[in-house]
Amino acid sequence: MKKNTTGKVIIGGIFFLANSLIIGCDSADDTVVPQDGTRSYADGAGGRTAHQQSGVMTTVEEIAPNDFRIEKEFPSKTTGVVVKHLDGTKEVIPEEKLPAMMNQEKNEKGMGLGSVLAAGLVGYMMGKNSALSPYVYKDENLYKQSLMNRQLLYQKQEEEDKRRGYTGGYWSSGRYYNPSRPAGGGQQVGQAGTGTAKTGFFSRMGSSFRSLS
Amino acid sequence: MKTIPVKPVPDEIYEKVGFYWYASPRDKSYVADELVVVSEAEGDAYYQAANELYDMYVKAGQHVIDQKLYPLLDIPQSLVEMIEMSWEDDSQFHLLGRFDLAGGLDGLPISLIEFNADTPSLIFETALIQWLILKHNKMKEENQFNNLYEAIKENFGRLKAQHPLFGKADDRIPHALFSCLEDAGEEDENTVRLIEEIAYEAGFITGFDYVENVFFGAEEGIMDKEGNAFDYWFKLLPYEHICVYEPELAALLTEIIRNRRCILLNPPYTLLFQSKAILKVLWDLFPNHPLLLETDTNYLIGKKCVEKRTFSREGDNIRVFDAERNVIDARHGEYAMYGKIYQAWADLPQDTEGRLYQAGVFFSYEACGLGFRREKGIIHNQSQFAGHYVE
Repeated sequence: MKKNTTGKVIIGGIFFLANSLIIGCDSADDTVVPQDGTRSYADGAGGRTAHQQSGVMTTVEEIAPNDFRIEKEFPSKTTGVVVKHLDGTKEVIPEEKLPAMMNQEKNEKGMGLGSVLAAGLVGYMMGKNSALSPYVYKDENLYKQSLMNRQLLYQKQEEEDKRRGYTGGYWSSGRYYNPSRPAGGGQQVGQAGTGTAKTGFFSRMGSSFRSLS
Repeated sequence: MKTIPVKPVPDEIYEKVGFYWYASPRDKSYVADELVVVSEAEGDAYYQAANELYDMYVKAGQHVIDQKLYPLLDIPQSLVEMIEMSWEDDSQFHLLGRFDLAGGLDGLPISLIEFNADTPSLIFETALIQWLILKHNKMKEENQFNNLYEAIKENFGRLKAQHPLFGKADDRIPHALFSCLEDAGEEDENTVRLIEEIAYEAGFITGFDYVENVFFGAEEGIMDKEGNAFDYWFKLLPYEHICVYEPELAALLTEIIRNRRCILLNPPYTLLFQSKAILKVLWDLFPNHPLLLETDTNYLIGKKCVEKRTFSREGDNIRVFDAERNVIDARHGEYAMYGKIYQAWADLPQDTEGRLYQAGVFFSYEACGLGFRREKGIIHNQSQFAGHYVE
């Protein structure tokens, strides 16, 4: 059988988020950094301005004392960092701690945590203009993947910019549909670019459908 | 069987991860505050059973196509072309499905009940919620047969790698649209959004919109309202519903596939697996196979058996007969227009309070996750979900 991955918190953004929430109620085991203001999927509307749908998950490994490399990173809707320390402990760092951590870059010698994060995809996403460097990654393939992901993130943000301003549940601010905030929208009509394509299927059915899964 | 009590995850946490259906309308928790204890050997047996069953389904699917057994499966002629085209195309492969299995605990043999191949539910519960229960109770997260999230993510990567336009490093990034019906409710919508998120993490550009708002054109493909075309369309909307309620859409989708404008997920051929009449095909191809229950379109004379409809869902339109053909349990529903099949009865593991447990094993390229439903009687849409712990 295929069991749960050890440290599932880095497998997907939602596990990172869920873990943070559990820690918030003081009963998890993976963590050191205290949480405050943990974001939920339902309340994306808080303070952050641009690109609140785009995030990056990152795992950083300490390969020698205070010498870090990025072991894994991928775009997600959650932003979070997991640090694997030399002594085997894991540190979970929520998004709100990251800017300060990356600002430590200038005080660090060599590949400190702040410098590595700033040069990674998460730094790119959070507007750090650190030079692109293959050396912050554990291997060359991770670096190449990061270049791909930067492209993905860029395109994603472009699409979000384009769509911003539309109402109706399309990329609605919360990541998940919240029943207390009905996704409105109503009928769209055909617009330029959709040609002879048809729309409105199933809209005549009313609400006779139940959950279909 | 053995269960262990666990501290329930607070409702606020469930809501913050988008799991709004933690309460059932019958005023009890939808998520059991116990975990089913599964031994290593039992977990391995579930894993191997699902893998073996999937191979058998592929053989049965080929048999249905070769022998044109569509009427037996209640599959309308209007869907046959898209089924056959998708079956022949390697870039249209099955993202995920869920086997419902009887037995597997207490020494009861594992038997296939059915395969939810097109639009499986319980993804959220299996991938995330039962893991969350382990974390909340400070139990070792490795002690769970649960690779579902990772498996779906890898499968999205595989979809990309197998596509002639997206397989190479410098190819453009594929766009995938995710949809359910607007009135389908938060369970369906958040399940779709979770899968959208997995696709995004796997390197797709993704979007979500309700089926009602999506544009379909034979030449244009599948588009959002701005005319942006998508390479993949994931729909939590069963093919047989499209065929019954929107036959024009079924025709358009056929043309879209023929013109290679978009790949549908799950692909149309999963409807072959979804039809419960394929259980009879399996029994014909693999008679007396230990993982199968005898199934026929005719009543099984002298045997305790279950009558189901080819495309019924959520435990609806089911009658249970004893060996003397008395109805001993029944649930009504909306699926009476579909054909009947009769499946031999299989015993489910039972706890001390008389609740019966049915295993759900997900398949995404391989068997990848286990969860349970429990109920005193026929398992249905509001039966409790129970997570598990491998000991």
